[in-house]
Amino acid sequence: MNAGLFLGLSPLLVVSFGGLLLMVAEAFSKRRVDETSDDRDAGPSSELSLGTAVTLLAGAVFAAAIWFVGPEKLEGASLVAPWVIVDRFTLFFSFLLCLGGALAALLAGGYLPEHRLDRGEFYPLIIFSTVGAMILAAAGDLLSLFLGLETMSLGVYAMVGFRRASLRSTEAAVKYFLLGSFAAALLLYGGALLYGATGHTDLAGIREAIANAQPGKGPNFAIVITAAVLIIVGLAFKVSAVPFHMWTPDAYEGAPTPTTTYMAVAVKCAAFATMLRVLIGAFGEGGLESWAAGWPPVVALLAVLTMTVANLVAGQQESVKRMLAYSSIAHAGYVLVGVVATMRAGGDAQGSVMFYLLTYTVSTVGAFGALILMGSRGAEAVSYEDLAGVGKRHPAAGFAFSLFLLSLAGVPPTAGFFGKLYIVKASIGAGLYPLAVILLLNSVISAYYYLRVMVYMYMREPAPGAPIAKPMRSGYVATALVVAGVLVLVLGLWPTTSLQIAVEAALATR
Amino acid sequence: MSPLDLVFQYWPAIGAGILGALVPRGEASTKQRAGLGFIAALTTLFVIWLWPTEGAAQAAQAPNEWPHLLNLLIALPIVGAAAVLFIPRQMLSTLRGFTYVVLGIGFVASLWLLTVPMTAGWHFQYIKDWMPSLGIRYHVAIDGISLWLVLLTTFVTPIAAYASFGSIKTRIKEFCFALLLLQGGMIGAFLALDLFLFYVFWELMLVPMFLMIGIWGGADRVKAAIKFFLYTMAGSVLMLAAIIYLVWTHQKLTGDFSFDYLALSRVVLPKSAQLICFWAFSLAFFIKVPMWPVHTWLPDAHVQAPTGGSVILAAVMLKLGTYAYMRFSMGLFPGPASNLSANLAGVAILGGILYGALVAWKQRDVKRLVAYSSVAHLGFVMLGLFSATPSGMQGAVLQMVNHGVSTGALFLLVGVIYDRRHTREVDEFGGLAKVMPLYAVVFLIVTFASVGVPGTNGFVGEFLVIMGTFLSERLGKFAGIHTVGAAAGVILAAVYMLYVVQKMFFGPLTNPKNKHLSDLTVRESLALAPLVLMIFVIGFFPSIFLDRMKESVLLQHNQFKVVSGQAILFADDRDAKLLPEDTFSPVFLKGMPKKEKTEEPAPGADTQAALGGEGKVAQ
Amino acid sequence: MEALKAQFPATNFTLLAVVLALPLLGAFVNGVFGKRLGKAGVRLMALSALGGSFIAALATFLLLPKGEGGGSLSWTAWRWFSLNGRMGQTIPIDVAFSVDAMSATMMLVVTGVGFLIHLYSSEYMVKDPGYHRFFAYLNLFCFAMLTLVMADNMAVLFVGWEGVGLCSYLLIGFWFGDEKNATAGKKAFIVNRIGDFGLLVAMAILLYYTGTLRFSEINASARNLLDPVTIWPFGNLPLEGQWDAANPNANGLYKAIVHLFLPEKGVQVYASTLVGLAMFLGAAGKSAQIPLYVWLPDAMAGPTPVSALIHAATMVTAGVYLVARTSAVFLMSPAAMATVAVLGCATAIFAASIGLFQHDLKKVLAYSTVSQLGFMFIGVGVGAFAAGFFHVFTHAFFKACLFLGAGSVIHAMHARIHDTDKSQDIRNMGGLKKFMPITRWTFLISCFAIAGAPPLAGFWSKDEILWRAFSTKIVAPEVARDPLWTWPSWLGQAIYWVGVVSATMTAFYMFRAYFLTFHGEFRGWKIVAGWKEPKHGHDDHGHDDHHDHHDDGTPLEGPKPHESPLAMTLPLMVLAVFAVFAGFLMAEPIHVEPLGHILSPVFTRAHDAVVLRGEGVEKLMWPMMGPGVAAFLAGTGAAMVVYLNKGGAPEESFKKAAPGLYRLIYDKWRIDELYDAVVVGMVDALADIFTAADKWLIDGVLAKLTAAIVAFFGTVLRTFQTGRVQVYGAAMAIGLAGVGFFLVRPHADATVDDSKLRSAGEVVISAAPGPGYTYRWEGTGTEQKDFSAAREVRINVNPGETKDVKLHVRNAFAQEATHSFAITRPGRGFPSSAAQPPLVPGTVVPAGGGSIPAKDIPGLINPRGAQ
Repeated sequence: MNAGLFLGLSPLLVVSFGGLLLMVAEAFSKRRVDETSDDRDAGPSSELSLGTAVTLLAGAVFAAAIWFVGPEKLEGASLVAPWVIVDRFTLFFSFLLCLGGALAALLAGGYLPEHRLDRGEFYPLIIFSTVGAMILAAAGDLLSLFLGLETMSLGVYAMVGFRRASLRSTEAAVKYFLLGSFAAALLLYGGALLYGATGHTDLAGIREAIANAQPGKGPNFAIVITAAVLIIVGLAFKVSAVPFHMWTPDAYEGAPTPTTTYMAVAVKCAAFATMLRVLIGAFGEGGLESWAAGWPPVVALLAVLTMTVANLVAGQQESVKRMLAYSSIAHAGYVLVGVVATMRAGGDAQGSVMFYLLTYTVSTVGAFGALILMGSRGAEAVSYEDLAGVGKRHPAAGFAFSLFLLSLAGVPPTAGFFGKLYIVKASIGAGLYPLAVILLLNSVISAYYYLRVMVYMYMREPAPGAPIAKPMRSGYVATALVVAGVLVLVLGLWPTTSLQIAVEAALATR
Repeated sequence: MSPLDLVFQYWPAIGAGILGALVPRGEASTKQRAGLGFIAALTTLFVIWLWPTEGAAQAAQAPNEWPHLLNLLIALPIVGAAAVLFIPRQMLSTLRGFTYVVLGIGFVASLWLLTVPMTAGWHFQYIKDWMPSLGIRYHVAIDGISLWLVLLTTFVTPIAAYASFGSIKTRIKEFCFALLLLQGGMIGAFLALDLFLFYVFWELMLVPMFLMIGIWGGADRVKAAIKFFLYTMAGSVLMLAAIIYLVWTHQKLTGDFSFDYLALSRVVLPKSAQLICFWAFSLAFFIKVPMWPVHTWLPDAHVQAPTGGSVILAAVMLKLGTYAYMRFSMGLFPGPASNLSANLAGVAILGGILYGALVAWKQRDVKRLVAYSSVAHLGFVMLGLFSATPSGMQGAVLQMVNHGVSTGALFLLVGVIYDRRHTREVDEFGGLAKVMPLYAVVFLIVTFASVGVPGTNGFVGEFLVIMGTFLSERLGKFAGIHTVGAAAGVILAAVYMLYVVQKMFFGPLTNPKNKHLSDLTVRESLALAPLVLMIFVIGFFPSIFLDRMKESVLLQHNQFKVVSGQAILFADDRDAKLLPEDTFSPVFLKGMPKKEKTEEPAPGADTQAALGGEGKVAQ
Repeated sequence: MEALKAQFPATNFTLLAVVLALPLLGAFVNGVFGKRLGKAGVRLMALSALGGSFIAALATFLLLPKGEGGGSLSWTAWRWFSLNGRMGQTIPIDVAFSVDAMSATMMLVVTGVGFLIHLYSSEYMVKDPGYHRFFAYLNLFCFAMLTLVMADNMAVLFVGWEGVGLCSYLLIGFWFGDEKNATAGKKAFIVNRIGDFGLLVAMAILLYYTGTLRFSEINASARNLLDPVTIWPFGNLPLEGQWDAANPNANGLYKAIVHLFLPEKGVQVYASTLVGLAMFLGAAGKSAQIPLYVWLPDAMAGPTPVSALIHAATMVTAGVYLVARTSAVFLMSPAAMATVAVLGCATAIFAASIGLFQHDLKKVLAYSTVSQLGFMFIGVGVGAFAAGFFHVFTHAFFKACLFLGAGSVIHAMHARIHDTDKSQDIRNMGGLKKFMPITRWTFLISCFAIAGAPPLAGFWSKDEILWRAFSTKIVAPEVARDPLWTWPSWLGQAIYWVGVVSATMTAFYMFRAYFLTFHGEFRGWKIVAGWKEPKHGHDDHGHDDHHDHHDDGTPLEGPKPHESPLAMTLPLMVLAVFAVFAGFLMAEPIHVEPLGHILSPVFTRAHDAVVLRGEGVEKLMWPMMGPGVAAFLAGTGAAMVVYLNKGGAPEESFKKAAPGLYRLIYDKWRIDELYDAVVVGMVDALADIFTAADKWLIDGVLAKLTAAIVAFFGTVLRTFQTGRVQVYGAAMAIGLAGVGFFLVRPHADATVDDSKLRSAGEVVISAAPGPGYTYRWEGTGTEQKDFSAAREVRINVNPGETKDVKLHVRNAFAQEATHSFAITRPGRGFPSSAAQPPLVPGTVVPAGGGSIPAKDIPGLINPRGAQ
């Protein structure tokens, strides 16, 4: 044990200890609210939300600090490898996950009291889920990977069912739990088979064993392939790729919106981190990466299905929240295109995936945040109708929502545009022209339903007599929106630095 | 110089001013007289100032190009739009005044562009690295072609704003925001020489226009707005893919990423890729133009858009399609552009000039009719470009300006009657010339400009295009047939425009609702006056415009000729190639990103090394 | 005189600016300030503008350089724009004016007759509320017409050309409150536009071949137009025998159809023919010739002075002027000349036949105008440019006089009848000679002139045209060497005889109109029974004296027709004098031809190209005047018998005997209806089809269908989202199975690197890798029995050889897949596609409409910089 190791693990440790502290603090806190009260500031949220955000952002700051020091300079940080790898890839995702978690926590700070869900346990759950997610991103071994996955998922299961009184919320949690266990079991079984075939649980070892296989010697490829199938499906479930996506809309819609936000950003990012680690780290050689017979065509097909189906269905939704859920599935499809491209365009493509996740995180947090902002107690803005005339009554909220939607649709000069551009660039560089074109055409379809929100906000008036959603007043939500908004614009207009960081982070795994 | 000298020197302007003040009859207010006189005097001054004289050309030899002028033109409206967000929405006059000031400064600043003789090549060039690792630069410059389109933008937008503030009474703040943002986006798109920058501006325009149609439009506005947005976006995403492909190819060939138009001009793609990329670019532009058969968004958008929106849409936004085709499709893919020109010209004539005119004739909604007439007019513009002759291309550029002026005026006029009657059905009208004589006169003048009667602006453009078409080598043996088809469009233009004039203005005044319509108001006349004046200025003195664009057009034409030849000669089935720099005129390549040998490898450089490797571009 | 000459040098003759500027100023002042000026002011402005212009035009005429070579005065205002020719040369188009003898004469006619008509109108229109508007239009018209005749190049001519069309549109629809007038104006403009279309095309061709639009330069370089142009390119049909051999079973009808549509040779014409025909289309539009004459009779809806000025004396002669102006071009193409002459001749007789039974006085005059224009085109068509132009000149006087006379009559009738149509109907007139003597006498004189009574003006000009048609033929020396088409010898005579018949008809219907109007009893006392009092709605009318009316058929009290005031009769008298004496300006048979002398230098080329038809024809000059005079006598005599002596009874009996024919002629041979049904109907149907297609097909497919498909699939896919976990689990299971299916199956795929195939015959095939895959290659030369890990094979192929290679792949699950390749190396004998010269547009020079001789193309591929 040495300082380097502690320093290397510091983001993880900071967040974990922060979480423990907050949990203890919450336990001793006098702030308890009976859920009938109207005083929105009396509950634990008013302190915990900020505390959580600060904790997570502290983790992000530590990650950034190590980045600038250079993880390779930390002696001893590799002691825990391959279980926890401290490299730039990890750091990038740590930062990203912490950022997403912190913004979600800020949203929760406004949302929970407003909707009489103000119970303190939400925040430790977010923090420990994030810890799990960070472990997941750092895992270089199937065992720690599974550990991280379960840590993350358990917290999220609880967060989905957080609205105990609501049948939908509970149903969502149960569905998510059932199908999530199914996927986890597949992953676990796949890992076991891999271990059986190669004798390794660490990804690098598996890769080496597969790469060095000679005919008649080395791992049994029948087992390896079976394992690959199981693991790919398990990962596809986590990133909610079609046809493993069906839990997503239900879970997203049923969950309280901050949870939805958290799932859409942090959980998804962590899943993609794992995907990159596993597909490139373990299945990167030995024919498994083959364009003809390996995972790339499978993932490409998944990408096409995911984008297209999600966009087609999203256009038919009546609920904005559910539409955003499908939109997050569609975005997963776009990211998958980048994942496919990693095999040919290499670090550039992987960087594009990671940069995309960054832009996606800020845009999605913003979009959900704006949606949260538009509903107040008793009248959560959910459907399109609820948004009618918002642009006129609450111009700032409308403007913010429009900005995030345009970013999601990929209209320049927002972050979303640049993320998409970079993925397209990577896939064209990899020669995946049809995928790039399908991606772009899908973004046109997606523009339709994003615009529809703007249509309702700016061009419709609420039906006479309909309940008018009154935006809430919450400094936390506003803060989250401002942060996300600034990032959306900055990442769109001056993406150079963040892009370089993403590419550098990507190169760490190669 | 004594004041008396000034009087002598500028007597035509003074005379025009006095005359303009005398023109309105009856008890016209002093304000109206002063306004008209002012506009007349200004226009005359403008003509005097532009008049090509030997002395002026000599004096302007040493160009005094302020490098930030273009930045100012682009940034001013965009910053203004941002500033509008912070003005309280109740302060209507402040909002309007602010918008006028911003647009006014933009217009005055754009006049500065005219002080520089537009020799071939780029002017007022300004380059700054934006995203160096991707080779994306903020690269703006102007030449004789974009000059007139920028001026058209800065000229028409204030008019549209002025006219709109007469009829739009709700949500002024959003309107000011959208208008200014739109202006910035349009000017940016005309000036950008970096494909990425161009794409950003190209898409940036969509949102304010979408809002403009969707918020202040007619009954079916939402559908039209979404249609407009999706059509345009569908085209442009394919362009994006092609841009990136081109950039990659360039990177493979030179090792450097660059989105720069000048640098990418040197790339000769493999044959099939050339064709695909040409179509990807051109489809985006054709949708914007709009060319048959991707034109159907236009009538809907026009009919639903508010007057100001229609004016800007017709006058400026459609020009982006034609301009971009001229600049980018012809510049980057001269091979396919050259090979396909005869076929495309056929589409422009049959689908644009003839089909557009015939469909226009059958429309009963005046605005829809004018919208289809735009399809026909832009068919002429595209034909001029496809013909790829100096005359044809000059005619096309001039016709872009003409269409902006006359169709802009037509939309304003339709807006006038719509404000009074809230209908645009021709059958609702008849005999209006009796109750609205001034309106009838202006409408008639604009109609004849639109029809292309000599002496008005429309004629010169159409004439140049038709002559250019016949002289064209690209069109080969079909040049004659093309010419006949295009010239036949002249007949149809008269058919549909006179149809609407007769229905609206002549015949007995039967509909009682029309009996007490008021004639043009001061505001409306002031908005129309500059456009009507420009109709005659361009009609009688087109060389003011043609002389300034001539060298740029010739450069573009020569380059197109040479490079298309080279591209066809050297294009390969398999590999992309790079044309030597001396294929191009040095003035054209001025400002191209240069590889600096001594440069430290950027942090992204090893990235590129990691991706490189394959020597050839995969096909 | 000398002072003036010094003041205005011939190359910068700014007096032309004065001629042009005055009417323009008049138009502007009257149009903008007219309402404030009052009627007197408007009248003063309009008359002084035209008067001043006339004086300046007269000065110009006098200052024209005299002498053998002729000469011209020109003034360049400014550079309008410039074009680039096919060689890349710059072709400047200036706003420039140039006057020679022909245009100077036209200027005099335009300003002179124009002034008289202005004077006349100042009284005729005096009660119209749109007085100032009327004079603004009229002045503007004069400006445009002057631009047309003074233009130095075709572009400026086109300005005037369209300008007069525009003014005509405005003036025909002057009383726009009436739908009919507005429609007539629109019809005129659109039909004129069809002609303008021809002119545009002509300009394009001229620009291409001669590289200029200036008349002087066109005439100088007209020889360039002798380039053969293929207008029907498919000339490679096998000759008849071969075709029959190839299609032995084809029956006669099939053969006939094929031969009808596919000539054995491509059809070639001279470029000059194309220019000529296109230009003639323009001229036919403006000058109301077949097939574009239909607008002129309708144009009579305008005020009568307008009909006199625009639709009789000036504008409609623009076509003749144009053909004469570009005579050099026409002389290069006998075919075009023949077309002009034949269509002119057809128009002459056709319009004359319609004129026979018209009841509307103005319509009679309108058809007579069309017919006379036909004579003018015969003149220019047979190469008698001076004669054709001379007929323009004389016609301007007598036809203007006739129209103004008719206007005077209508003025008088309208005062009583108060209905536009009825007041123009000659059946309601009669016996007016005693009420309006001046009008009657001037009308009669003009009737004699138009009918060709010697020695009045019409006689000389018409006779000259007919004589030339009879005696000459066109042989342009340049064309003669290799004529694509020659002028048949019988054509001139045929034209002559048809002309004589038309002249007879002219005399007949003119005197029919004269007798019915001025002789007999005034039938206006008793207007047809059942005639209703018109609504007093049309306040815009010029002469709505609100007199009392009774609606029964009994003789009515009312104002008597009266002679018009001096301002109207003075022009009549002046014009009548000219109608008598103008002929002596160019009376060739008696060798009094001052006008002929000064026009002669304008048409120098015609001297060589137009020759006598045969030996000794010139001796027939006097005898051949006989039929012309006989035509006059016969026509006049017949009219006198029928309408003066028998009171129109023979017409009635003809109507009874052949009612169908009578109605057909009266209905103008129903050509308007034919056009409506065929041309207009076709365009209309096409527009309807397009509109429907636009809405349902294009928009339907691109927008609606796409949206519907997206929505449909969205809805379908949405139904899977049932909310049941079992379904979700099943979907996952299916997905798992799918992924498993793909990865468990082997995939044989390979990339072929054939970059060295052509040079060395070497091909490298590398199979795509797969997890645990082994490979076996077949057909590579070295046979392989077992699967191995070798992913790559190298194959050598000889030229012209094809090798089939088969790849077998086995995966870890012991499943196999195959993939075959065929690799061919092109043989030496075949040129590979890469060795072919690349196709560069422009090097393959088409021979069609816009062809360029290959030698003229400056190097298209220029490896150096663009500048």
